[in-house]
Amino acid sequence: MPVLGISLPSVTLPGMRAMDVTSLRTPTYAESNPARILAENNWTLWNLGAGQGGFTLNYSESGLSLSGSLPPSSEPSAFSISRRLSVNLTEYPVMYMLVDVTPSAGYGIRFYSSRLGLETPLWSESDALNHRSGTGQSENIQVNMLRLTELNTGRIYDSTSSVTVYVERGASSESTPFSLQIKKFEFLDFPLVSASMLGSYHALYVGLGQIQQTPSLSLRSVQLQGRVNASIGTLIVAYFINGLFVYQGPVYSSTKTPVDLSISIALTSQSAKSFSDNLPRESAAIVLVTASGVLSQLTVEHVSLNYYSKVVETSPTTAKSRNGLLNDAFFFVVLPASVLILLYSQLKRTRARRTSSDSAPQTNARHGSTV
Amino acid sequence: MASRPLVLFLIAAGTVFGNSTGTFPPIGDVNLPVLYGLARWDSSYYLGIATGGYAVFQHGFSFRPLFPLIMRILYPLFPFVDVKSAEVLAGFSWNLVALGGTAVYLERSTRQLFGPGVANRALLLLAVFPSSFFFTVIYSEATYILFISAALYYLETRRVLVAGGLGFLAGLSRPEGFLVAIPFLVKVFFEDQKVRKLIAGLTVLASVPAFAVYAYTRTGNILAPFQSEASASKCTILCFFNNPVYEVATGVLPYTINLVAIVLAVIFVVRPLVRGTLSTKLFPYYLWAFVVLAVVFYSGEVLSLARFALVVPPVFWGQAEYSSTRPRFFHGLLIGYSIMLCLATILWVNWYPML
Repeated sequence: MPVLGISLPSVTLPGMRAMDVTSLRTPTYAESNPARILAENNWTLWNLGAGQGGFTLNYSESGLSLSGSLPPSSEPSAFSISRRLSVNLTEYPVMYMLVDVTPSAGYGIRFYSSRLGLETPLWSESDALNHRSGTGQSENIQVNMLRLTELNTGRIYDSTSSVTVYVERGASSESTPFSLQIKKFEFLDFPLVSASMLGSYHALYVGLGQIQQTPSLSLRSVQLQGRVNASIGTLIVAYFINGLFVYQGPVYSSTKTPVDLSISIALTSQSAKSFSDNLPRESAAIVLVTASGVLSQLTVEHVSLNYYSKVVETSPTTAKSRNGLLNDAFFFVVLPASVLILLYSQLKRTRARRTSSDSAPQTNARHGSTV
Repeated sequence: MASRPLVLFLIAAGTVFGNSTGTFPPIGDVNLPVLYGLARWDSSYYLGIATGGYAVFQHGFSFRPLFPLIMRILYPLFPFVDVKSAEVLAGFSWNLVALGGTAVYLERSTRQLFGPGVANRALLLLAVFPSSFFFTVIYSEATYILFISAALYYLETRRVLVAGGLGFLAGLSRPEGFLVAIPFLVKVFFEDQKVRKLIAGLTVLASVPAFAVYAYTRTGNILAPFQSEASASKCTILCFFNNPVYEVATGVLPYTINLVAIVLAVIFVVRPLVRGTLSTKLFPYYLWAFVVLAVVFYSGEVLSLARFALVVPPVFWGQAEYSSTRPRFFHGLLIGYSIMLCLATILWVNWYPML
């Protein structure tokens, strides 16, 4: 049956398929460095939670300090402070807080937004800002609020109305002294700029547009090869972002410049709870973020998406060439020919009608009558 | 217009009570109680382009700029909600206005071509066509059909250059809009005002290079709109018939509504063309409809076939004229379309691929 064999397209069995998308990437862009900062360091705006006593709130130049002791309790106990906070998250999407909490207590940060007089919580129990453990050391917390709120609520909120910071502890038969210090509270905006030239950047973005996924074709990993110029000692963290899902890749330390990159990020791990920077302009992108130091240029050599296919597929080349021929036949032969035939027939009919209507009076006249 | 509250109710019901299937909804809901279901699927492109321009998307240039531009102009009228919600309210309000305008122009032009009976029937069929919910949601169909209807009306009332300008705007509303140049150019063969019709037809066609030049100024690539359209992933009728068993097996109603709607549309456009019963006045419009339906049937996404047929007035003229002497057929069509409209609206909200 060789003739039949020739007429059949080749078949690819289920499994991994690498797709070269190097040509599909958008021009690289970056977060300019330093950021625009909206400092919310007026500590006197903070208030102790209502109806609770035994805790002290001190304001100073260096920050806000909450201290006290959580009493013995057979149930988990908590205490909170809050303030009104009106921030345009579209303008300043990244929240930054420098906080120091004693190891004996846990803590969390909760934002709210006001819509038509109703206070809407923007947090969820499992998000990156809630139920954190105190470490006794200063901690940098930096979170993209637009992503966090959309993950928590399923909606886009572009402003906040208030914030609450709480300290918590599980059930305990002893009182628990604690202290919480907020040393910095800011909202940041890293403007996105073109990164076609050497510059001083906080993060670099390689946009991949919108990733196509179907029930039979799922994306498993992404790979990028290239070089990045960065200041010596820079720590670079690679991420792959697809919609609201953020996957962390390898961390690079710049001991020389440029640094050769061979990034592979698997999508099988759980999505990161928080992302510290701007979301990309596109739905999907590979992002290099500096934990310290400055990036100056990224050269991308190769980007590929690795899909897992669950179904048997015919050869795309054969299908493509076959579809190409069909397209040519349809658009250059069948459709124009149909239009020409219809047009010609209509013209012929119109002429015939005109001729018959022109000849009718003459015929009638010949027979001695007019219409 | 009276059919819109029903559509709105079904969208709200679909979003509030409908269960997502895992991969849906495809875009984050905007912060609008009840109305957030208006922005789904390709709405994200229109909303994104309106505020962020074309650089936001890889396939953004598949979408024409007029509807996003209108939303961009109108959304500051809704300062009491966030930007995305304001865009949705702006798009929704504009769509209602556009639909009202469409009803006026389409009724007038159909009345002129066929008489009042067919005009009323055509409007009724348009209102309950299975995909007519696209006139309400954040898609460009309402904008497109407004300019198409207005262009046809002014063409029939001999204000040909005005019609050409409106056709140009239709070309900036949807990718297939430039094809409305066909009636202008074909009328050159059959009617007077030949030069004006030729100029108007070329004006409509100019929407294609105009958008290509705009794409060039943004990307340096004059072919960006065409490459963008060609590279978008879609399942056409060829893909459907390549593997019909898979397509049928993966959905409860895979493409049934789309296929029924497009088959009916094709029959009522092709039938008078093949039988040669059309007057010289009507022939150019039916020929245009034939080309549009042929192109979208061959190369359009199967799940959007009913949407493509929705914005082609001769589809409704053909059905309305045929049913003018067959009241039972007309009632059956109305009832069938209404049922499919309800089902399609609910399916679109969360389960578009089943439509």
